[in-house]
Amino acid sequence: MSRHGDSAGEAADHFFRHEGAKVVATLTAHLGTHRLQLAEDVVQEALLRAMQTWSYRGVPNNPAAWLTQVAKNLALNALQREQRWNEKQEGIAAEHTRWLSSTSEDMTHETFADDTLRLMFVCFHPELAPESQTALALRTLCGFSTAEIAAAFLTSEAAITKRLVRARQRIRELALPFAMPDTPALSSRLDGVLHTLYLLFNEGYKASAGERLVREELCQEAIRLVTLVTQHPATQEPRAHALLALMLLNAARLAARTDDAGNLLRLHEQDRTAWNQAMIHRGVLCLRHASQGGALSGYHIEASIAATHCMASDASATDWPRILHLYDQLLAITGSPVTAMNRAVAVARIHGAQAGLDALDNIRQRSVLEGNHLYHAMRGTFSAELGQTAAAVTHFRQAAKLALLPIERDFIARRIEECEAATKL
Amino acid sequence: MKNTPTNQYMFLVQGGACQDGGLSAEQMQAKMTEVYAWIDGLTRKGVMSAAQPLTPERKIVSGKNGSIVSDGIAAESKEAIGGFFIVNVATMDEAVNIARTCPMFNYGGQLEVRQIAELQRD
Repeated sequence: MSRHGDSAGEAADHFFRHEGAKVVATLTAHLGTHRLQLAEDVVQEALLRAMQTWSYRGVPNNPAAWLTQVAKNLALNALQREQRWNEKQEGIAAEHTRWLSSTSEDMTHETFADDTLRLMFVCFHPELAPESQTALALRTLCGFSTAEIAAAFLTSEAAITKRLVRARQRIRELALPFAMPDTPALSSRLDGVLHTLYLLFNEGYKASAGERLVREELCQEAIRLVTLVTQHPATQEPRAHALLALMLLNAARLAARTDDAGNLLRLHEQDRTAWNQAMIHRGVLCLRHASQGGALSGYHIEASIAATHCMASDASATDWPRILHLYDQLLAITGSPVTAMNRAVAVARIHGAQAGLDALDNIRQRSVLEGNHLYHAMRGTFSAELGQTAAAVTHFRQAAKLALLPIERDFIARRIEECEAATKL
Repeated sequence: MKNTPTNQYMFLVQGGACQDGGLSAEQMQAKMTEVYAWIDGLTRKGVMSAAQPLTPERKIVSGKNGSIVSDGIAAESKEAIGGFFIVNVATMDEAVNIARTCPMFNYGGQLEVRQIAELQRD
């Protein structure tokens, strides 16, 4: 069974995390959602044993079967122990014992993918708080540790542990079934799943803090999960393909957003040769696929905006009129002040900085944006372009006050320096 | 040409299996990859003669006529032996120098280096 002699590092990237997550899904499928914690615990132990054994022998030919078997044995032991301790508790169902004692050689990719998708519908149940949904998904569907989740969300391990405990408790209370929703509910439940995956992606895409790697992984995980959604016959809706396209077309440009020192770069400063062309290609294909059938979602439009940026050979070649047109469409769907704010950039690129400022002034729910550092940074940028340096500095200072991440504050500090240098000339 | 006489040394791997707070899946994979690369490298060089992990199940048999069978120390214990290596080198110093390159020390745990006794054949 060993592959001794093969080069080391033969296990694919994130192999432990992903294989472990698959086994959590499979165990939960058979033992019920109220045993989620047990599934997570025995898989952690199975991975530990894999680490110890495979260190010596290399990765076995069927590592998923190996892990599943060990985890099943451990689960069976744990359930039997639990029963001995508490005789009043109902016995382990015979079917559970039978399954836990069976061999695991026949697990197929389809079974694992199916189980993972069903677990996704459990984790993203609307009865769970949104921040619990994303934390639970990262724990169970992606195999992150609490420390890694905490790093990704810039919060403490204790806070994440609390969210996870609450989420598992809620799942038990509601006795959530381990199943895809039935047809009438499926569409709206799918909307919820896609929206949470969208949030997960955005969490990773937001300006990266110190834990840049972890945040990039959030984007990759969101892409992996939404890919599963697009592959299942019950869920491969155009809007799922559109969401995947949107993620790919944005993630393709992620690495170019910062320089080697970790500084945020503006669009025209980015090295476009660092964009991941294979990902862009995949994203464009996905978007084409999503556009068959005529259904149009916000994801379609956001993906089209990202595609337009990807198509420009340099910043000056950006098709801003097309982007503005897309933002008009998106605004009609979302009505969100953040969409309106982003639209102002396209307005400014076509009609000049004053038009950009006017567009910001005309946003109806502008008060919502007052606490957003990007809004003030944008005003600062437009003012600076108009030569209104003093006003620009005021806006940038306000932006710096609201920015949460050091990398964002550094970015704004550089803009203030530029303004001050311009005044001295 | 006569080769340097080769002896066999055994490395007993103690502890290092369980960390305070537990390793994440990603860290476990990193550790496995590192340790495997080390063993694999020594195997390719012909220095490593055997490398075997031990499963955590254990029984201690003792007493008169082996009458006492107990579970022994827990698998998580620092003294628990998780596996062994056998290397072919000439001296204890060489064996120790190889043991020192083992990446598992970054994760706790220790290696006990012992020479395997040879039988006098004449």
